[in-house]
Amino acid sequence: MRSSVVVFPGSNCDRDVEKALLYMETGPVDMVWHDEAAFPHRPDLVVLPGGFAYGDYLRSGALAAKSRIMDAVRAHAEEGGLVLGICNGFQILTEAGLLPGALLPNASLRFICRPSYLRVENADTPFTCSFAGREIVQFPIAHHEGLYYLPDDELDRLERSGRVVFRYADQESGEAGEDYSPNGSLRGIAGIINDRGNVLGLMPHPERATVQGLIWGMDGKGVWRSLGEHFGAWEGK
Amino acid sequence: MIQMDYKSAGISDKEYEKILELLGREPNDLETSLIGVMWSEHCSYKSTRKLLESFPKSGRHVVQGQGENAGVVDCGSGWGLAFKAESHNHPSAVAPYQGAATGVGGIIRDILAMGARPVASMDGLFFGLPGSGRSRALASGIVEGVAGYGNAVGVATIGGKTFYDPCFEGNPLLNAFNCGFVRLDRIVSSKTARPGHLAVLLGAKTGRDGIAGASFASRELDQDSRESRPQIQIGDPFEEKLLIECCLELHARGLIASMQDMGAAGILSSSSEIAHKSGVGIEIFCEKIPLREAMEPWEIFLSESQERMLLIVEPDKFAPVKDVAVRYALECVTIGNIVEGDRYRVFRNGVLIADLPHSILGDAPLADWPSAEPRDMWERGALPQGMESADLAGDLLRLVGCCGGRRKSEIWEQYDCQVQLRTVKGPGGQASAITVPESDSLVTLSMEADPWKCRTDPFLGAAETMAQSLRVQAVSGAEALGMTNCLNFPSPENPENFFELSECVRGLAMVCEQMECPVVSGNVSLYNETATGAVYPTPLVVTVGLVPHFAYFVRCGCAEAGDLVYLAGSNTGSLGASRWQTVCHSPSMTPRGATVAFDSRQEKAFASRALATSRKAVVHGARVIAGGGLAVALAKEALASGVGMSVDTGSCDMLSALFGEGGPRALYFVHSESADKFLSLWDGYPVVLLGRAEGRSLRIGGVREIGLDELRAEYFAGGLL
Amino acid sequence: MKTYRADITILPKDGVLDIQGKAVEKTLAAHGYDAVLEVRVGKFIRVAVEAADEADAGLKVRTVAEDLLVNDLVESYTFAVEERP
Repeated sequence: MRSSVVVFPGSNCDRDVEKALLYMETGPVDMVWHDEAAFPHRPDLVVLPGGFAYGDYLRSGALAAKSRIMDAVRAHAEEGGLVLGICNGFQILTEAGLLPGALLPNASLRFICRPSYLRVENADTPFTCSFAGREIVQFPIAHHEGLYYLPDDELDRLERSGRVVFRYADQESGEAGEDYSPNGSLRGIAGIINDRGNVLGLMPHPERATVQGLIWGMDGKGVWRSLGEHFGAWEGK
Repeated sequence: MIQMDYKSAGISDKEYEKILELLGREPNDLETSLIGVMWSEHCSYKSTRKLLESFPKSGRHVVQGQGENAGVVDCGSGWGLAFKAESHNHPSAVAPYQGAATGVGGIIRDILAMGARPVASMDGLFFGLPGSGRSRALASGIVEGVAGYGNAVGVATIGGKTFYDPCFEGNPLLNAFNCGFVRLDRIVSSKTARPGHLAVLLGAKTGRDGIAGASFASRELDQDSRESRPQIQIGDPFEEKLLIECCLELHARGLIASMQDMGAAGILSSSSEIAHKSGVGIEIFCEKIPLREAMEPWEIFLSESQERMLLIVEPDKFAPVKDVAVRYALECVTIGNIVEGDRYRVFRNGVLIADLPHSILGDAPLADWPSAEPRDMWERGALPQGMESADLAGDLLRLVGCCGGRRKSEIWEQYDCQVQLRTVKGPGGQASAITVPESDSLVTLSMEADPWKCRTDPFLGAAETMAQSLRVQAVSGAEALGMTNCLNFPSPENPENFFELSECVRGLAMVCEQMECPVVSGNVSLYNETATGAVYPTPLVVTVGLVPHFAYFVRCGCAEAGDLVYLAGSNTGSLGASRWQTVCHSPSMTPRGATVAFDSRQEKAFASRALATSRKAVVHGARVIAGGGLAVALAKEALASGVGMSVDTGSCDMLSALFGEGGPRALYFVHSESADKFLSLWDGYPVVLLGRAEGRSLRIGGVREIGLDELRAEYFAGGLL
Repeated sequence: MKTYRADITILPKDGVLDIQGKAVEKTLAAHGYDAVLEVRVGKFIRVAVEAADEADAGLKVRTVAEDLLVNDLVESYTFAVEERP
């Protein structure tokens, strides 16, 4: 699997995603500057990493959604290529119209950095195929705008089509939903996928739960493993 | 320009005479304001330079000692760690969010200026009691400022220290620490500017932000310090992120000869320092400096606009430097030349408007303040007679509540403690730890401060603070490589304050000397007082340690059910200025009584055994006994590991045994099969078996049993009042 | 071409959670400001645009607002244009 990680001026998880991908031995990783018109090598996976793409002074992700590389990202998605937006990357995908909804300020109006427990609601995507359905996993969150918002009727549609992929959950009981949203996210939504099933956005950071020996576990490996398996000939970890 | 009589530039009569003597003429207005700010306490350390000379500066791990933007120690595998702590107390008191944010931004640029990638921050926070509305507002603004800046710029905040006392009510302290990794052969020096090089300004435009902030920090806060507000700088972490990436790329490609961050007294201090340290002259052209608004030369030179760096560039490399800057959308302009000689010269549209020897800017005369032992020192140091506790369990719960678990986790949760994927141990334990690039080793960081103990005995209190930080290193399995510090004190012009300052420095210096932990960088913040009172003497130290392999790292919060609980060290401590004495015993929360005396032989015996214990991997975990003594250590360990404790102190003096503080002491949690091995490692040092980790409650002989749930509730609900 | 000043006011759409507004509202109530019935927190953006006339300026402002400044899923906006001397 060849990955491209987009680097916006204020990205700060770009190297972390690279580190996680290399650690998982998923294949070559290209770091691509936001101002490029195209990817240097045709990627299988494009990652929009976390951070504060353009300082996020207007709205998180708003300016990044207009940057040059986003045309290439859009084209890649239209051809069916995989796109993964993590945290600020998720915000950028919604601002770019590649995913529905918006990420509003956390209900506490504070930045929150802590482990978060998620229920895998859809294990039938290229990003989650190595998880068991309804499995509880832990990926940390670190954001100020993570409250997922969509009007009610559209939320219903999202739910019905199985496009809610990760939902905040209780570690012990496995129950999931709004009560377990650390940020007030509607219906406990932590990650969603587009109609076609090739663009995933999530607020929690799988790359922060990948490398051994660091705080907050390794459950995130499942995402990279899923992608590796999706592309077949994979001999990574 | 406003008429700059020397007094309004903060220059005393005596200092002005000195200027006349050095210059052989009257300085003009611009020169007067330049000298005034460089001779301010904040820039010149004139009150403390002599004291600080007593710190040991060299050691086998020190690659770069004091005298640069930050110190660097050798972490093995070709990598060094640049680190420094800096206070931003006055700005944070006046504008909490921006003051704290720019404090974090400033210390990050200090690390960047060494050529290092900033990887981790810590913060020392000193607030008034949380009960007061003003304190709460200050505290939440400061915490949000640290978070807002650090999170956006992508540097993890992995630990710190939070301390509450009424003396910080009107004088909150923010001490920001940052560290970064740099290849040992790639350290940037400020001594490498050569005639013919260009002085290049990279980053934000210059505005009126923080004009004369340096002299602002060198004065007591006015009664209505809101009037000082226009001086506060505004930070932009996005610009800083670009600056970091740009400078690191320029450095990696060998395009710069040197760089300096612009902190206090911005362009003036960065350019004069580089000229002074490199032994060259410098010419700066005012009109070339990109401005946000029309400004007078003195304002330009003193402006503390954030997110700017001074680069020293060979002329033929300017074009590629500019290309890189453009890619990062950063302003990049040549503002001056490095020349032969020793002059600091400023031109405006071809006219020479300031011409000083750079030594006059770099070598401010010392200020000599009289020192006198405070008249009530004896009273402060005397422990009240006949202290007793009516309810040991109640006192323990109160002290556990004082730890303020909820408040602290509310603070930590606002900090991104993981970004850059190096964090092995984040906030909430004793030592924080990060991975060293390209190696299996860890860097451990420990921040300590104990204003109560420094109040009752500045010498012993400071010594205990430093020793405590080193104990945390040793118990974690780390060899101490070096330390940095922030010395937060009130006005040195008061002889009693100056005495406390001198004694604290003496205490720190003694422990650093005897424990072979050199001081590689540091910062002094004086005049932390308002009309309502002064801060207690508050030296804050951060030690840096190295654990040669991650498997050797010993943590707290890892006790397992069935573990034997050992106490290594004396089974009593001092109640002097302890948490128990100040919080539970003194109705007015006044610390009384001196802490234990520093004993280097004991400390060394403790440290060597703690290190050996780490290397043999015979324990599940350990916890250094700190604030609140043995009882609070047991309670915290029970909470962190989720296992109860069943112990007996075996001492007849219950108060000192439970709540005494000070001296090298730690709890060890050991599997029974490893007990013999553990004991043999500690042979020759007092070790007692206290009991076992078991059950769901804290059972200490002679104290009412406390369930873990009750303990937890108190920990999260409790407050100081 | 003339220069116009446009003042753009952006507010959370009716029905969209306005957490900041609610927080300010609660604080004011807690301080006894009973007369304050409702608070909404939004953004205010001032731009200078070059345009042929006022109508043209309005058109240009609407374009940047809808393209970038406003997320119409969650925000609504109003603006006023005025020629700059």
